[in-house]
Amino acid sequence: MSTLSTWLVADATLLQQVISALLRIGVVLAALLGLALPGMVYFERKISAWIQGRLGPNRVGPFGLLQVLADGIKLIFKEDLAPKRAVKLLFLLGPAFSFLPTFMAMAVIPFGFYQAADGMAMPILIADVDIGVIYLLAVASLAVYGILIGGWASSNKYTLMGGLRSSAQAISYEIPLGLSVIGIVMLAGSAKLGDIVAAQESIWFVFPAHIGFWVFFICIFAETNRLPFDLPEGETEIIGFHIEYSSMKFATFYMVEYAHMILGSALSALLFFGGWELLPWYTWNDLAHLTGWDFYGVLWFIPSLWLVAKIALFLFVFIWVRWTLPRFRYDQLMSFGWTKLLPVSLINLAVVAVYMIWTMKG
Amino acid sequence: MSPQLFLDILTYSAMSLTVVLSIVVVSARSPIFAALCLITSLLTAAVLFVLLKATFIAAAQVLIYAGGILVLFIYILMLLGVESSLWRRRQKIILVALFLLMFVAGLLPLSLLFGPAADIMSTSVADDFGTIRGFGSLLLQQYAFAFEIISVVLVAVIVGVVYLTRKKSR
Repeated sequence: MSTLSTWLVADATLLQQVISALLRIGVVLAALLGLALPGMVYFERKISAWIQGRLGPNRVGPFGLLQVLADGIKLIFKEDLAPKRAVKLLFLLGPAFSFLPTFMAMAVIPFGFYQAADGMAMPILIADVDIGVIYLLAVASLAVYGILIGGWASSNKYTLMGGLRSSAQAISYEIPLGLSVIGIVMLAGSAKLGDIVAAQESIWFVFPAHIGFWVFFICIFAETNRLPFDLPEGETEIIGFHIEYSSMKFATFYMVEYAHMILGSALSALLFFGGWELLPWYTWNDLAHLTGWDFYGVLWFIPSLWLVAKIALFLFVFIWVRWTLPRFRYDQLMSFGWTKLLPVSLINLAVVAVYMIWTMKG
Repeated sequence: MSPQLFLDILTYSAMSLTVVLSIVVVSARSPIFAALCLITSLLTAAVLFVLLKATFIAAAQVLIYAGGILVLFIYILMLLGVESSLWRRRQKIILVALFLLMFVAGLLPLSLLFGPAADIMSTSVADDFGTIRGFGSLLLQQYAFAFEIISVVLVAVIVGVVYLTRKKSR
């Protein structure tokens, strides 16, 4: 009966914790769905137009800003078709399975820091778990199921082959991705993203682990199914896992791709480019001493904006690459992942280890 | 709601879910459905690991089993073309309903029978228990020999697999 009695005892701290966690999740979700994802779609179209010497969306609203909204409304009101032979429940769950892990992974991404009561700089994030990056890799590895299940449940041999290809690509590139992240965990001595950024105050990890950075960045392109790895969209051999999806279900896959890009860019900035640190040789502390501005108190949002600027830079590179490079053939893609990236990522681990021993002596 | 009860509900739901899902894995007629239930039961087992403060094991469980090995299971099942018609029979819906019912019905009696689950939670453990640091030092100091043996076995398996697949392609 002990549990029944405890049921009746209200505990304010737990309620506070739950509400604060829900609030943080809500803020991150709202910022992503309301601002970052539509913004990404808009800028993808504008930058691609710029690269190809076109104007891009410019009719709906000022500078075509409302085009994204118009497209969204169009997608919602499109007919939601499902193939007759599709496995209904799994067909429905496919987009959800790819949507959930990506957004769950956002829980450990810090967006800046604040000063706690004891004077320590604490990262601003949803959940500060000890295993940080490992959690992120674990959760992100589940996104494969959305692709697999979506492709299989459509009961179409083209979607099945497309799903198998995309997921084979994703799990192949996960290995060099994980290995390059392990180099960073070695350098920082912690898997918490907040600690990793704090460890980069003296030197950004892109310098000791720059091989790792290239491996990581290439793998992120493969994980997000972006060009030059966007076989699901290949016009010459269209067998994407999502070809049977229409309306909002398709839009979900579409949004997940952008959410993945944001996640990948945020990770590149946090793991390799010092997160919210100002410059490799100049920290916010130095600037605070110089100007007397309080970056830990009132001006806490400036380092966060700096991080956002870094993320935006990486997102630009994503778009730039997409509209510049041609596409891999499937066998090239697999042999590149297994025979080039994997050994290079192991070399990176050795380089990082040697660097650590070398700096320990000095 | 007290933290104690919150933990109880979490623990018991993860436990009963793991058990129920495991039963479904061996009894389901559709292989794909069984594989999906296996993934979900691995995830609920990971929740149990987290509740026992073994966070690294939980993440490794998800990363290796759910994110790696089970993907290959599903691969094979999909490539074999196991009939999707099995899924469409009404009994699958009944199975899902039954499973939800068992979950809800199992939770309360269990928690009443066995009392608070969080006794485990209050048991004191070392500070770095279950963290990457603690796990790593345990693995590479106390159990270094067993760890190396397992590595050798794994390398042997990989070499064997490479050999087998090569032979086939010739």
